[in-house]
Amino acid sequence: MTDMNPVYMDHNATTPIRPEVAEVIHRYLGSSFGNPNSIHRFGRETRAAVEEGREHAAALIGAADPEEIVFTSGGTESDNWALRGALAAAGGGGHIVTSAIEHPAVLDTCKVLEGSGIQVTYIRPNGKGRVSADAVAAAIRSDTRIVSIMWANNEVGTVQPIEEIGAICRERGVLFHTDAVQGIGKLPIDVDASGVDLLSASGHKFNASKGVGFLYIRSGVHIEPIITGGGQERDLRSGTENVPSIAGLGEACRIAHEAGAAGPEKTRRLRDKLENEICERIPDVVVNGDPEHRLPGTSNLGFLGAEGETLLIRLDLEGFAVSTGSACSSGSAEPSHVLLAMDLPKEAVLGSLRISLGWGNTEEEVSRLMEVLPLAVERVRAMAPRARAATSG
Amino acid sequence: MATDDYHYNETVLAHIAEPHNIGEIGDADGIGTGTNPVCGDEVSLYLKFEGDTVSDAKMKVLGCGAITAAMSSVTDLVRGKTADELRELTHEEIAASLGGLPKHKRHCAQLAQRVVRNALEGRG
Repeated sequence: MTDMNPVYMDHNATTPIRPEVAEVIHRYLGSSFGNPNSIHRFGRETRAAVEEGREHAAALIGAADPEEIVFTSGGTESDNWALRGALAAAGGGGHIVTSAIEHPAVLDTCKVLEGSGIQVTYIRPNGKGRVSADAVAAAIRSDTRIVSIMWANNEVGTVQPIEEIGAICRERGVLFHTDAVQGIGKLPIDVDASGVDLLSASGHKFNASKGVGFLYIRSGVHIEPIITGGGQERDLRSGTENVPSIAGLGEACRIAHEAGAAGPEKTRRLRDKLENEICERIPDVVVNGDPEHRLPGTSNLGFLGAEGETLLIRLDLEGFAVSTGSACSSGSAEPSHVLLAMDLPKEAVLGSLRISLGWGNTEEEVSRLMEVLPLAVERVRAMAPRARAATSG
Repeated sequence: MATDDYHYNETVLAHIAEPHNIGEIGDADGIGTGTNPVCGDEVSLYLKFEGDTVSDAKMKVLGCGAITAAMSSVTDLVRGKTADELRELTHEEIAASLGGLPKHKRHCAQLAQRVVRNALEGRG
C-alpha cells in the first residue's frame, strides 16, 4: 500500500468534478432552491440557471437553438430515449442499425426492442474498433428507423467516422443518433457539420456531476417522450429539473467550450508520453484501438502474458486507479464485448488495461506510474504457467 | 456495514498483493491444471506428499484477482491434509477461506476446487 495520494487515471469511467463546477452546484444546494417551474422569484432564479445551462450545452456542440437541448438523468436515459422515442414516433416495428461496440445503454436497449419485434443490425468494427461508414450504408433498409453509432468508444477510445455516417443518413433520410458520452468535452463536436439528429451526453464524463446529462434533438425531429408527467422540458421529459446538476453541467460545458482544443491537447500529449514510455520500457505490449482516430486521453494496452484485473489491483494497491477489459471485471463473467468484437488475440484481451487520462493528471503522475508499472507487469507475468517472464526479460 | 457483493474484501486483496506459494515443484506427486474457457484463466497446482498428507503445495496462475486469491489460499488449505480429505474440499470452503468472493467471481473457487481434484487423479 502506498501512503501517497492516489492517482486517478480512469477518466473514461467518471471524472472528478471541477471546483468551478462544484461551486455552481453548491449555489443551488443552498438558498437558491426554487422549482424552476414556479412563477415566483425562487422559481425565476432557478429557471435562469437551467436556461443558462442549456445555452452553454448548445454552444458546446454547435446546436443552433438551445431548445434543442433536453436535460435527462444522463447518458443511459438519453440513449434509451433516442432509440425508444424514435421507434415510438415512427409507429412501431422497423429496423435499427447500430454497432457491436456500443455502450450497454444502447446494446441492451436494442436487445429489449428485439424482443418486441424490432430488427437490429449490429455492425462489427475492424480490428482497431472502427465502424465503416460503408457498412452502415449497406445495412440501411427501407424500414430502418434509426442509425445509432457512438461518437467514440469508451473502452479503446476509437473515434468513429461520424461525419461520413451523418452524410449517409441524411442522404437516405434516416435518423442518426450518436452516443457522444465519451466524445463531449474531449473532441470538437458540431452537430451540424456531423449531420447528427440526436446526440446523448453525460455530465460526469467531463467534470460535472453524476445523474445528469442531455439529449440533443435537432429542430424538426420528433421523438416520443418516454418519461411522462408534469410536462417539464417542453413536454419532452417530465420531472422537476435537477437544478444543481444542470447548472453544474452547464458550467462544465462553458469551461470545455472556452478551453477549446487546449485542454484535450494537453491530455493527448500526456497520454502519448505515457504510452510511448510503456511501449519502450515494457516488452510484449500491444496498443488496442486506433492510434489514428482515438480519444486524447485513452490508452488501452494489452500486456501479453499478464492478466488485466490482477494488474489493475496491483496498481490500485500502489495508488493508481485504472480499468481493464479482461473478464469478470464488471460483474460479467466474460471479457469486454468491445475487445471481443474487435477480434483481438486472446492474450491482448486477457492482458488488457485501460488507462484514461483527463483533467488534473500531470507529468509527475505519469512518471510515478512508470516507477511501478514495469515491475507490476513483471510480477504478474512471472506467476503465469509457462511464464512469459523468461522470454520477455 | 452494508453487504458489498461486488468488490474484493481485504483478505482477497492481500492474497492478490502477495500470493502465497507461487512456483512449481519439480518432483511433485500430483499436478493439476485447469482453465476457464470463458474468461481465459489458466492455473496449475503442484502437490508434494509426505506419507499420506500434503507437505508442500505451489501454484502458477494467469488469471483474475479472484482465481489468484483462490489458488493462493488453496496452497495453504491443502497442507497437512490427506488425498481423501482434499477430495472433500468444497468450493464453498475455498471461498470461505477468503472471507467470501463477489457473486460474479464464485466460479473461480469452483475452478480452484477442480484443479485440486485434478492434481489427485491417479492417487489412491
